Amino acid sequence: MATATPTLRPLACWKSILRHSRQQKAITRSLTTLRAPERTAAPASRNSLPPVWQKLKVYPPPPSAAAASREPIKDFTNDQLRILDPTRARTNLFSKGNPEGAKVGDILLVRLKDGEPFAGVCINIRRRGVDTGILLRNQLTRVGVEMWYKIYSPNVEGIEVVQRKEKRARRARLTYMRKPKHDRGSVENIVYQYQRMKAGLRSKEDSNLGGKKKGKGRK
Amino acid sequence: MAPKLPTSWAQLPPAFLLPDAFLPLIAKRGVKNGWSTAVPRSKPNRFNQQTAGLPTLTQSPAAALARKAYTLPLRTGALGIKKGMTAIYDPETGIRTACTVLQLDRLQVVAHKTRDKHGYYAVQVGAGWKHASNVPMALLGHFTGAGVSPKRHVAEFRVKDEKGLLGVGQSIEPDWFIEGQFVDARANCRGMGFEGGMKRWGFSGQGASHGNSKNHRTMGSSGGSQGSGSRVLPGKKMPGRMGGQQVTTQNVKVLKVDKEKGLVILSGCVAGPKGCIVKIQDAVKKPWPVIPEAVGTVKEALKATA
Amino acid sequence: MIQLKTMLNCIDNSGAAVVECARVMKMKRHARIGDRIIVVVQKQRNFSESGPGASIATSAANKVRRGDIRHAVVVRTKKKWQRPDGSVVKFDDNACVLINKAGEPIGTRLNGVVGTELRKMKWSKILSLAPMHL
Repeated sequence: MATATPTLRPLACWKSILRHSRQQKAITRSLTTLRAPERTAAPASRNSLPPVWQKLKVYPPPPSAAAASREPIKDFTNDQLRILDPTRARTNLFSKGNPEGAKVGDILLVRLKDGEPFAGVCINIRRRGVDTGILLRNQLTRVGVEMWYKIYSPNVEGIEVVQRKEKRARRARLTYMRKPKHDRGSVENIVYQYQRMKAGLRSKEDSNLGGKKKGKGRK
Repeated sequence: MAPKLPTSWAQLPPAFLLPDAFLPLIAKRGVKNGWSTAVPRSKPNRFNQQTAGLPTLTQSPAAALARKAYTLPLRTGALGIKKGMTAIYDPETGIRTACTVLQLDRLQVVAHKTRDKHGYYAVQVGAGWKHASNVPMALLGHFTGAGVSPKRHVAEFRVKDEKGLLGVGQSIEPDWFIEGQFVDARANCRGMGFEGGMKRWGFSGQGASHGNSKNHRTMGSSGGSQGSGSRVLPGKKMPGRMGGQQVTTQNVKVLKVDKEKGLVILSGCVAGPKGCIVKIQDAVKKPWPVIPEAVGTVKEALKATA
Repeated sequence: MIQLKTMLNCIDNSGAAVVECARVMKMKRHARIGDRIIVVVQKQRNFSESGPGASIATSAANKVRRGDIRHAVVVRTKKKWQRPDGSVVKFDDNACVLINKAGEPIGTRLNGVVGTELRKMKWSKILSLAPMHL
C-alpha cells in the first residue's frame, strides 16, 4: 500500500496534462479551419481519370421487347377483351363510371349459349379485368340459388337489366340478402313481365319497321 | 496341428530353376507372427486400379452423367419475369383457363459449360440489362468476352450434349417455345417469414377446448424422452423460416407466345411473387417438343453450333 | 361437401324428408353434386294432403321408412362449385335423391331444382325427372 500511492499520483498528473493538451488541440484546430481549404487539385485529378468500367468495351443491350409493353398484363387483358367484347357493351354495362350501367341490387338476366337464361338479383360485382364476374341470386322451386357468371365468358350470350333498384344500394355487396329477413325471393314474375313487355315491343317494332331492330336491351 | 511339409528343403532344386508359380501355396512360416509371404502390394489408389473386365462403376462423374442423360433436355431454356396472372377463354367451348404471364427481356446466351472443362454441358443465359458501372470488373469482363451487354440476371440451363449448346451471344425469343408444348417452370416461391409448425409443416395443432391452456397452435412434443435418447433428432420439423426456396412446377403447358411483347403465357400458376425470375425449360416428363421448320432463328442457331 | 352426419333434404316422393349421410362412396373425402352416398332416413314425409296424386303418394310413401339405410345421389350442395367456363353455382341447401343399389331412383317424381353436373356423372334419369336443372 505504501508503494502504491506514489505511482498513482503521477498518473493523476497525466490526466490534467492530457486534458490541457486536448484543449490546445481544439484551439489549433479552430485556428486552422479559419483558412478556407483549397479544393482544386485532388478531386479534379480523380475526375479526370475514366471510371474503371470504361477500360473495357461494354456492348450495348439488344432491343428490348419488354420496353415495348411495360404492363403486359394490361395489354394482354385488352387484347382479350377486344376479342371477347368487341363492342365494349359489357365493359360499359359494368363500368363504375357509367351511371346507366348495372349496379348492385338490380335484377339482371343472363342469357346463355347452352341452357336456359338465368335471372336474379345482382348482389356482387367483382371487377377484375377479363375475370370480371357478377353474383346473381334467385329462388328456383323455393330453393335459393346463387350463380357467379363471368361477364366476358363466351358462354354468356347477353346480359340484360330487367329492373333497376330504385335507390342506390348503400353496400358494395348485398350479402345480407341471403338472410330470410332481406331475401327478395323469386324474381320470376318480374322477369316474366319484362319478357312479355319486350316481346310486345318487338312485335310492335317488327310491324312498324319490318324487324329492323332486335331487342333494345341486348348487350 | 500344422500340416507336414511335402518335402524337405534339401531335396528341392535351386531357386533359379523353381519359379514362384511352382511353389506350393502354403504359408510356410510366420503367419502367426503377423506377416505373410504373399506378393507385396501397394496401397490402392486411383492410378493402379484395374478397371478392364470389371463391371463399370455406378458412382463416378461419368456414371452420374450417363444416368442423367435420359432426363436432360436437348436444348436450353429461358429466363422469364413473372408479370402476374389472368385468364384465357376458349372461344368455341367457353372453357376458361387461368394463366401466368411471363416476359422475356433481352435474353442472350452468355457462356457455355462443357464436359471437358466443367464436367457437364450447360448454357449460361443472361436476362435484362445492368449499367456497366454497377457490374464488378470480373463479371464485366465475362460479359464483354462473350460479346453481350451486362446482364442483370444470369442462370444456367443444363443440356444433354454439345448439340444443345446454343451459340454464345444468340438471343432467345419467346418463339423458342412452341404453343402447346410443356415446360417445367422453377422459381423461388414467395417468403412467408417465420412460421409455426401448423402452417409450415401441416401439424394438426391442439384442441380449442377441453381444458387446453395456451397451447392451440404449438408444435407439441419434439420427441421421446430418456428411452429415445433424450435429444431432438436431426431434421425434426419445427417452426422457422418458410418459403423463399425454389419450387418447380412440372408439365406446365405453353398456351400462347407473343414475340413482339416478349410474352410467354403459361397455363395455371407458377411459384413466386410478381416480378420474380422464372426459369422455364422443356418438360422432362413429356416427349421433347418437335421444333418446326418455321422457327428459322432456332434452326440457324443450332446449325451454327453443330 | 357432404360427409358423415350431414343432414340432407330428400327431394323425391320416396317418402323420406330428411336423411343423414352415413358414408361417402368411392373413397371420397366429401361428396358433391352427382356423388353417391349412403344415407339413413331420419324423417318421413307426411302425405296427408288429399288430391289426385295422394293415393300414388301414399303408396310411394311406403317405399322407405324412418331408420332405413339407402343409397342416394347428391343433387344440390351449399358448397360453391366452379364450372369449366368460370361460372359458379351455389344452392341454399344440401339435397339428395334416393336410389336403389342398381342406381335407379326410388321415387317417381322430384320437386326442386338439381345441378347440371348430374349429366356429366351419368345420372340422366334423375335429371329427366327433375322439374328444373341448373
